[in-house]
Amino acid sequence: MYIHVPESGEIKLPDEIIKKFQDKELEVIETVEGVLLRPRPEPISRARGFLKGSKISTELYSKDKQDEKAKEE
Amino acid sequence: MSEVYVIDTSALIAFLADEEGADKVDLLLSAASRYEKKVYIHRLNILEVYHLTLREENEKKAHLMHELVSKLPAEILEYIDEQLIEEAGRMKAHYNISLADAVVLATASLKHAQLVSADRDRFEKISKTGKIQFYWIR
Repeated sequence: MYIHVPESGEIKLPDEIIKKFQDKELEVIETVEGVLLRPRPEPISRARGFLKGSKISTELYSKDKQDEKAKEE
Repeated sequence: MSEVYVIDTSALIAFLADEEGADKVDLLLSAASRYEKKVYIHRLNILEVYHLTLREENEKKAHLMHELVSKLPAEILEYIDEQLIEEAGRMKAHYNISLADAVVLATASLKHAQLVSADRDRFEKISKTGKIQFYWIR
């Protein structure tokens, strides 16, 4: 099966592919043979943002490290 | 540039909290899942995030975070061997840094890897020496 890539870059995937991957995030990978579309590996999508909305942040971590250093000194 | 990376605590938190820079960590891990890049995380850095999550949230969340990170397409380094002790010891003495920072820096040095970090301020002095290659996520 072939699909046309218009100037706008927007492509329409075949219906059966859309049905199979609906609402999933696909990763676009350029390979030697062409372009590969594959679902993002589940462990990555499950872990990313797991602490979003919690109190954990890089800012809190930096502050912790500064306090730790001050205690050591 | 080497295609080997070591993720530090700040980059791990940025990814888990989906902060600015999470995209870069995500892309590295995706490439690692295709065996295009090698990514390491030291268990000591997971410990730092575990401790923060336990303190600020709860044990269940901390445990689940640990489980999720352990399943990432990165090699989790479990041990501190003789070589790492000596390299981390040198780093700690030389740069006056925390134990976890010394271990992650020594790991990057021994693996000839780029250290993935969000923390430019803390590592500024070390990055200027050029002894460790840094991969800043923001």
